Amino acid sequence: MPAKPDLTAVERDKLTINPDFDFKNDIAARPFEDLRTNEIGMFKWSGIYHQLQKGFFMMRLRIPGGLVTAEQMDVIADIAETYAQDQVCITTRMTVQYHWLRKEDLYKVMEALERVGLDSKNACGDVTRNIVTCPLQGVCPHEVKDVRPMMMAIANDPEIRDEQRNLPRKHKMSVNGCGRACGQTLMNCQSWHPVKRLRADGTEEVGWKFYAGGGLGARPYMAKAIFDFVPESLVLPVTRAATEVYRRTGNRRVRAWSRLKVVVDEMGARGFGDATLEVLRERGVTGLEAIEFASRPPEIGELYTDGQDVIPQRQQGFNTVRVMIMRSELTAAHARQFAAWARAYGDGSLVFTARQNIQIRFVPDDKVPVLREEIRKAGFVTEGHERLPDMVACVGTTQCNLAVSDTPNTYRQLYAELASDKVFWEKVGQLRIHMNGCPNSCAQHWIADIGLRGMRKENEKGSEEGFTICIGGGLSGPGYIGQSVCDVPATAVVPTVRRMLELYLEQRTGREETFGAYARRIGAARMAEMLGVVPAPPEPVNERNQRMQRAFDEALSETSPW
Amino acid sequence: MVVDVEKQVREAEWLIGVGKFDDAIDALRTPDAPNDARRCTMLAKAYHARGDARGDVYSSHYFALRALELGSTDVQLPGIAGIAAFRKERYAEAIQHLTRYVTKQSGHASHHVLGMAYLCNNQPDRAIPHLARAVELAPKREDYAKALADARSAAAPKAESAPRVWKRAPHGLGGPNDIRPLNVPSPYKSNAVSTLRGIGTHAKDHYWLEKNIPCQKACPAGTDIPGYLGAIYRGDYDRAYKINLHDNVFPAVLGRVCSRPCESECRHGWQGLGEPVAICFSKRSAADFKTQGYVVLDPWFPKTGKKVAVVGAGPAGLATARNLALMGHAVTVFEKHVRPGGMMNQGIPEFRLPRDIIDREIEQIRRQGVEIVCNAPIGPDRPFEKLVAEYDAVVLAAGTLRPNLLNLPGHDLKGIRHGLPFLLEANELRKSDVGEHIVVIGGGFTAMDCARTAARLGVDTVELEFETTEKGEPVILKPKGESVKVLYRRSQAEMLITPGELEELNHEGIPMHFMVSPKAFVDDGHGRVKAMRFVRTELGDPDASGRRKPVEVPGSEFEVPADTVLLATGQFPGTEWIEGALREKLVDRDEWLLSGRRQKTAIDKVFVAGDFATGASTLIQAIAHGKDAARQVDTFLMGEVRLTDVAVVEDVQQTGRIREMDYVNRQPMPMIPLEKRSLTAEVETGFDPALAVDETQRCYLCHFKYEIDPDKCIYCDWCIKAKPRPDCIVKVSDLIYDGQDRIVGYTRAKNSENTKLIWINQADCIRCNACVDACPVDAISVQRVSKRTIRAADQSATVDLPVTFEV
Repeated sequence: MPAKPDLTAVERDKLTINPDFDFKNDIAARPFEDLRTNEIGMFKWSGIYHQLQKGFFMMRLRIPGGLVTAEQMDVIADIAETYAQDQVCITTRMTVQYHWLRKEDLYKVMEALERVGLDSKNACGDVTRNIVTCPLQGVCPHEVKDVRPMMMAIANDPEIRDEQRNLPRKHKMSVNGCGRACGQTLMNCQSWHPVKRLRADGTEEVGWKFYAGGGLGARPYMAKAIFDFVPESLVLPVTRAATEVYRRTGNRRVRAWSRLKVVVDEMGARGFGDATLEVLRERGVTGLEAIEFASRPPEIGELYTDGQDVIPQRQQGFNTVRVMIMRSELTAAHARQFAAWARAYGDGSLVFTARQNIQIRFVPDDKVPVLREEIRKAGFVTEGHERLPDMVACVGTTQCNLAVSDTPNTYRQLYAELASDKVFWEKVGQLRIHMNGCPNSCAQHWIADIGLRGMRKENEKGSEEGFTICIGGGLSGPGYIGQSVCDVPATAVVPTVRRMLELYLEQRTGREETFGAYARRIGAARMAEMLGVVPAPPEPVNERNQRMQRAFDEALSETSPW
Repeated sequence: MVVDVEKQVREAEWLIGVGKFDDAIDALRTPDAPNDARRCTMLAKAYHARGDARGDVYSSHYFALRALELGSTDVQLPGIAGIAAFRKERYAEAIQHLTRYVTKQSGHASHHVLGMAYLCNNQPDRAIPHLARAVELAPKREDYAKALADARSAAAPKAESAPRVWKRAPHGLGGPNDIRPLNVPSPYKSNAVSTLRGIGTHAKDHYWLEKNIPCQKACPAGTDIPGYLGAIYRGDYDRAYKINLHDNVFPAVLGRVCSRPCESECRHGWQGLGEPVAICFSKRSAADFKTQGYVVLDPWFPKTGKKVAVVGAGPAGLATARNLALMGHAVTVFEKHVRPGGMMNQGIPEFRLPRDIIDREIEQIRRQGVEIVCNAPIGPDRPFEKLVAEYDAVVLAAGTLRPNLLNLPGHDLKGIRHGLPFLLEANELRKSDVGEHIVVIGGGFTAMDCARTAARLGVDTVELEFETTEKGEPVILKPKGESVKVLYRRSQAEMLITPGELEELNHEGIPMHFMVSPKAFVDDGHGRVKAMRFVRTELGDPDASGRRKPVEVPGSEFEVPADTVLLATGQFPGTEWIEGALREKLVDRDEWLLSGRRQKTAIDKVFVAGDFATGASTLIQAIAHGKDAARQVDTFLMGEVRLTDVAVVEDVQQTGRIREMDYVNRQPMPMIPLEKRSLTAEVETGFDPALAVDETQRCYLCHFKYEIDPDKCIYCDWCIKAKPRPDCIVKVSDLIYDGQDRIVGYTRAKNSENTKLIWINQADCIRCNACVDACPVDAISVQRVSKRTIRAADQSATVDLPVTFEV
């Protein structure tokens, strides 16, 4: 008989290792060398990864919708200061993560978080991850209805959060306030947004539209519309059932093909909808006849957040003030400052956005100018949202085991060279540059106007760090996956991006044609053709660094030998 | 808990000094979070010293800045931060740090680094003083002088230098789903084979086949083993048999009695990977279960009108004849024996090789157009000269029929026989006159066959006539203890036998004695042997054959009672039938051929094949030698090389294997029980179809080539994380090539900056597919590379070649 496929090592670990470790009495007490790789792998279920630097850990929190109180922010700051080398980073799924944690401190961090109602459970691992929503949740003038209750109901649903902890792979959800792109509907495994329909009697009924099968990673897919209308009472059962379909049918053999996006792609939208209904019937859920299958492909609206630094809220007289965070990194002092601003000027709440920034909510009209001035004085930038300065980057080779390129470094080079020229980027208008250090898509390069993905390329004396440049991605309309233009050495990113933007300015049909629309109009191949030869320094940096290694070594020994 | 920071720092300092950077970091991390200037300083130093691996440059920079922020005054910190910023191409920041570090009193390297930072920041004027100072302090450093010259030339106005670009090949290797263009040369020297797809004829292609398909390389006939094992696994026995038939001529025969040189080379049998695939047993199942009748292959060429005579219808003669027929020649084989087959039916006992199996595969050769004439010895009635005169070419494949007798005292006693005539007699007549105490001398195939045949005969003639099989044949109820013995002068390691044969000897109760050397035959006083005298030996230095030579142990003589001694001590070519002028040209004074092991002789139209040239060898060697002889005869007859061996490179999407197949155990050959064993009952019954699947799925299918496309690879290392063996995927700074661009080695990369390629070391790869599954950018291609014999005229064909080359 041909050999039967056995469980993979990861799947075996998921069945045999309890992910809820006793970090205090067990993990903290054991020497690092005693921790098995398999165990460390299962730390993810508690939001913990071993970071690139041996013996140090990264911990990501679970903050549904990215909304925290000032009190929680203070604790986030305290933890950064005490255990995480004074640093906390905002992620692209509206939460934060720490680096440089010692395993001896993991439980202390968890205990501190718990005291203010935060946790890191399911922040990583093959589970439903932190749920995202629109950055203007609950305050947006376009919101069909307040999205937070539904989002929190899904986020804290015991079946999804506590029982479905052995999914084939990570599982991501988005719950949005309307049909616009702010909440990243098309790139999540499951997504919802409220819709209205007319009843037979002519009255209006609010329900939810359901999408599934989006996902980026190394092989990106845009979500398909599954149901055009689901009554509010069935949203949670449908979410549970769709998760169950994924649990049963996802590929557990090859992790590259294990996301829900592959299941939905293979079943088709109708097939996945049927499978979901089948599970609902199995569970005895009634009223399914009220569910309407999707009649056409997704058509998502444009971003509402488009350059504004202050957005008037639905609540009359109140505003959301948006602050950009350089490379998503906050010190403890910065974090405390935001908590203080939220208390002093807002309602004491803050939102971490998927663009790795912070929003202060419920700032009365009269306090806005003072707050803006304080923010400016503190050295933060409020101008340039959804513009060139508002870039998204992962940690890259600085701290991540998977990265190939140093994205923070490239972020800083782009920022220094291009963001300083306000006239230029204002002329360019809407532009979202995302850069990712590896083929995964934590920094979502596939859906950016300009996306960079880390790579190396062989040369005479080794290999040099670089990026593949994609253009034209976006989450509006049917959704667009960025198309690859060229590969360039890291040292050539700035001139390449500058050249592409110059071409755009020369060739756009008018100010109304954004870079994204322009890129999709001309296509990546034409862009590559127009770019021609991208100038790079004559000597590859890896060759230069190897040649200078002796001088580097000697230079330090010239002060005092160790 | 009060933490003694000073103690930690001192420990870390010491550890960094002795190169234990990770330990230093561990020490600094214990027992609490290092949040103070002293420990952050040391962390910066430890990460700086650790090197350029991912994260180290960043960490040294991060902790240097943090330490400075926390108030550290360590003089090295600006240097560390400056060098890290430089490495990250942040030159302005590097200058900021390094100007705090470099003073007038600083050494040459410090000035050089600061100067380079200025130069890279497009400030050559500022760079020159520092670079010049470095040259002044270390005038012998060529790199310093070059940097200064660069700065001076950068300071002078000049035209912009040509930009450097990253080039991609017009068509790289692609990934698993790519269809590559046909007969386009591979774009890079580092590519494993010379063509993207199609026919490879370069030295590196042949080298790839040899290095990567060890079983095929070990098979003298070059059989496409992965090809037919894959077909058997899929249940396509007809195809498997045909693949086999192409190269080995007698698949069913060899499926039973091959010496299996392939199995000892099988990658599955390498250290830590389990046992080799049972190639031979599997091969037999293709012959057992094929549905075709006689298989006639498509000839390579139309009829040529040339006539070839082959002397001897043994394996070599028939293989030569079959291949000559495929080349379009008219072939007649002359066999002196009553039936064709040579050693196959004269030497190998029927219980190992049923005669109908031989007959069928010989009939297949007849149907291929070969005429076989039996009872046709070359001699007075059919003189050799006449053959040479009448035929366009003559191939001598007369085997080894001249016994090697032991010239020991008493060698002319009755009861002493050579093993070959004994086997011939037993195989033909199914009986032979042997006594009760038989001693077999030798350690090869013949010795094993003599012993097992004698054991069966001994029982037959002495005591067990009342026990019969269903066919009415006499059987052995139980082995006769020590009635048959095999004695061999070397050790087990030196034996030239088929794997498993010794175990079967033991199973049948026949004792085997090693390290004994015959000294004399002992007379019973009536002219008959009564015992054999031996002396014990120990192994000395290797002899000409490479095997260690036995050396006698003085005073260790002993006698073994024997009324029959069978000498399985080798045999030589018998050349007595070559006479006259031809003999002078062909035969040496020692009776061996003057042409040695070669197929060509001093007479253009006379060739030699098999054991007659090489001396006694194995069936598969004889077949291989015969096939080569046919190629040479063809070249002689046609005046050109008409066939060539090439590597055929094909695209594939799936190998059909899963990793779990690697963990299946080798399947044993089913055998009949001892009580059913007789002279004619086949001992090995063969795999059934289920067992054949169990076994053939184990084959790694080494003909699949896994290769990373350097144009698509992004060096993410995910394949390295997934790899099953330490050396199957390696980061290399260079590949080592020989003069023919063959990849003969690699140099491991020291760090990420000098990693030139992530490279699949195909000689170590077990084709598990884990890397393909892990690769996020589909950079790993899977192709099948197979050795094929094709018409030489076809190798340059660039059109109309199928995507998949069917055998």
